[in-house]
Amino acid sequence: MEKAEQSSFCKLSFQLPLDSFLLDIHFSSNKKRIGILGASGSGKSMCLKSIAGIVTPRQGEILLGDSCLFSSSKKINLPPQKRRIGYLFQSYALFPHLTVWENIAIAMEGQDKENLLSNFWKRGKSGDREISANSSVFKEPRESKSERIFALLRKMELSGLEKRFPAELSGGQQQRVALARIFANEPKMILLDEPFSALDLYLRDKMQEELMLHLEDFPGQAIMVSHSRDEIYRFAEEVIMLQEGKVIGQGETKEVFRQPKNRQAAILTGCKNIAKAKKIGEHSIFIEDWGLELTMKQEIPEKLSAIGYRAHDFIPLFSGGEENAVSVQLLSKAELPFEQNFYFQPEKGEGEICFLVQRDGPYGKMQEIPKALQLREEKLLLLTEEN
Amino acid sequence: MMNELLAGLRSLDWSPLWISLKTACITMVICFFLGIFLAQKLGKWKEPWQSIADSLLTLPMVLPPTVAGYFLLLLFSKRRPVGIFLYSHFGIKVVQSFLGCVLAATVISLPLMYRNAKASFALVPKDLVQAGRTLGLSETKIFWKIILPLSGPGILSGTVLSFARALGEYGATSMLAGNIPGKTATISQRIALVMQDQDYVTAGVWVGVVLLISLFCMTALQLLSKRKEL
Repeated sequence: MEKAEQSSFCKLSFQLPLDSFLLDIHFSSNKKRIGILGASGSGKSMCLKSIAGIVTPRQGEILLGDSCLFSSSKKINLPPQKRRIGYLFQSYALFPHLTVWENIAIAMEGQDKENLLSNFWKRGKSGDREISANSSVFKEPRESKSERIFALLRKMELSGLEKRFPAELSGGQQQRVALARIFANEPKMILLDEPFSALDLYLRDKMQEELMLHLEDFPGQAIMVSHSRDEIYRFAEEVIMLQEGKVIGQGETKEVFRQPKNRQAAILTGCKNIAKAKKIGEHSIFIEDWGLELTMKQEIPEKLSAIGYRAHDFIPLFSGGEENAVSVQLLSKAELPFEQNFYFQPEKGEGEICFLVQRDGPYGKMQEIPKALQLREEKLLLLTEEN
Repeated sequence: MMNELLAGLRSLDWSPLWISLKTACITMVICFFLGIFLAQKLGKWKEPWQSIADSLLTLPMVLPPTVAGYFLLLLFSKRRPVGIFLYSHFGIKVVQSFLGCVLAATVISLPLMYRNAKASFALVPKDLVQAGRTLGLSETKIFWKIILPLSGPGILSGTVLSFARALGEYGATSMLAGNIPGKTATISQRIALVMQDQDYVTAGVWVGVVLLISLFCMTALQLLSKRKEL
């Protein structure tokens, strides 16, 4: 039991200079599904490539379970071949000149040698009786290779496609082949690099469901990198948020999304309204951008520098005078299939406020343009500048 | 004119054709392996060494072949250390021999193979190589099973071009191997020789032969690369 827990533990702590910034990762987790959320060019993919050994960090260490993959102080840097980390590339990186079957079979080749070798050592070290016991196992190394490939094809719903070439498969099928190939190598950890970016939008939802299903009985950790908060929220138990190579937020996914701690993290979780604010009393805040003073039941943190408020959390008011409400004037309006976006300007401030109304939500049928927007204390995100 | 041509054909010594074809074939095989080997090895060198090696290997392509011939003679002449050493210890004679034909053609043709191979290796998507690594494939296996097969079209055109170039080699060959009938006299050397006697008929026959073979090579290459695209 303890051992199983140990095997799903990773500690990442490394620095890698990139073109315009330093990728600086500090993170450890024993969760099985981890997400890395960040905008394009935030260093997410490089983080995965460092773990897989495709690029070498300048310093730090990468631990996976009880094995050390990289350590600058101990001068350890395992080649990718020895790390046993499955990497699902954005492009899937299937070998175009090999059939589905060959793509999977080739991933078993690298491993066969290692198995033979470890069996050999086992034989060498154990006593006489064990040798005979072991050698009978040795003659039949589990199932044969082709049985294993067939089993993988069945599991990944690829039966019948084994003679096809990657170019003859749909995007979803290609992804399943790439996954089957990764499983064939029996990885300790799986890295998913923007796994849905190559797919048509309408396919993504279905593919996410599929991917989760296929990863269900994978015992190790899986890290998914994405710029889509929906994908990460759905996939990850724990999340790291990256901006320009820095970790700007991390923790349990639901918690991080519910209560981001700083401005960048709030933006990454999709918070549309972020305004400069300061503490003016134990229980009161002044939102400078909106010219609004808020009184709250909870105590205000000392370091408060901004507030975040999600666009769909406002209560529209059609007459003034309510507490914690900002008087606004309509700037523009956008009609979307299932919602309406209103952009307001606060009467006493500079900023822009986005108010999102779901068509079949409680305010979907409102006839007038609201004159003020009321904030609810429990929905307010109190943000500090530091990470 | 027609009678003249027929008479010329009947009395023609066909040995230059066989010497040229033999040279071109052997050169092609050598260039194939050596070019791939060098492209793979040098591709991993650090700069500036890679660029330096690159330029050195490409030089024969832009230099007059006589310059290559000069250096080859400088090295292998029977009056120079290397040439003396090779002859006295191994009985190997490079100058005025068929070996000289092959050597001269190889030096001139190798850049075509090397450059084509290297360019097509570089075109193999990095993802595929990296995927191979994360799947536990050794570097050797990645090269033979992924990079090389995916470079097929480039390797093919390199091979055909080096064959065609070897077939037409003149300058370096004439300096190193000489023009010994039946031994080192290639088609291109024979053309030059008979033209000194104003023998347009014989020269014309050989010109036709070279044209036919080269045209065949280039057409085959075009057709093969078109088929790849489909």
